[in-house]
Amino acid sequence: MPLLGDTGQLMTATFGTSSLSLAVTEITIGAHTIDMLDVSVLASTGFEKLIASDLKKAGKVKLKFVFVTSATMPVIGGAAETMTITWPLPTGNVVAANLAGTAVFTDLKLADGKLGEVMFGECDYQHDGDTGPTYTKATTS
Amino acid sequence: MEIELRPHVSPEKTPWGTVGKSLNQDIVLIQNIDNGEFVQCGYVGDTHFLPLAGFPQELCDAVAAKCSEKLGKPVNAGTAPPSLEELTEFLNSKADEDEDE
Repeated sequence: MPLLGDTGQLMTATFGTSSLSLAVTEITIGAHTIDMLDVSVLASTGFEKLIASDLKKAGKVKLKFVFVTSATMPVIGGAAETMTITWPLPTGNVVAANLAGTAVFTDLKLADGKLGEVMFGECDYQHDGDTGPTYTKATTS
Repeated sequence: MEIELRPHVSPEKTPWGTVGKSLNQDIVLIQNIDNGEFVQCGYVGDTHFLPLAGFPQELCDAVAAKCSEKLGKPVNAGTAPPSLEELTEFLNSKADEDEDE
């Protein structure tokens, strides 16, 4: 059986409107969650009886990047645009897995300065739920 | 060089069925010159070709031009993230500046 698994090398973050180019070193994807509503009644026994709520919550996506002073920084609270995370393309696949949807930058941490250390910045974006976010698996056609 | 564009859509479930909602970008596939197979190399957004990490910067202008032909609108080549070499050069130049001071 072939070995499974891959690393994050060649993972990509792209921005459809601003076309920002960040030298990303780390991508952290917040969990998508849904609340569970308690529908327990007096006759219930054992555990709480829970049903899923209607709307899901999209977690924030955090990007850590090499801070280059000549690079354009994300605009916090700017217009929503399509933001896409693309996972590395496995051999034999045609289109890579991706998480895409309209989103807005909510946080920007500029670089701190310290002798002998590379400067990094961090930014977060939040999907606004207008379009997506949708995860699409890699495909072979 | 041949490319293929595929509209990038987000499937949305509605009471009347699943519809594809546009993400206002296309997935860009490029023909691999070794085996002739098409493989994704990036996206084309509002105004730019947005290459995937590791895609050669040397090909970005040509892909952007092909996207422009197919879409009938101007498409610029996205700025690739600085390479490790460029970053090293940048850090070295900063170190030189510090020594001069």
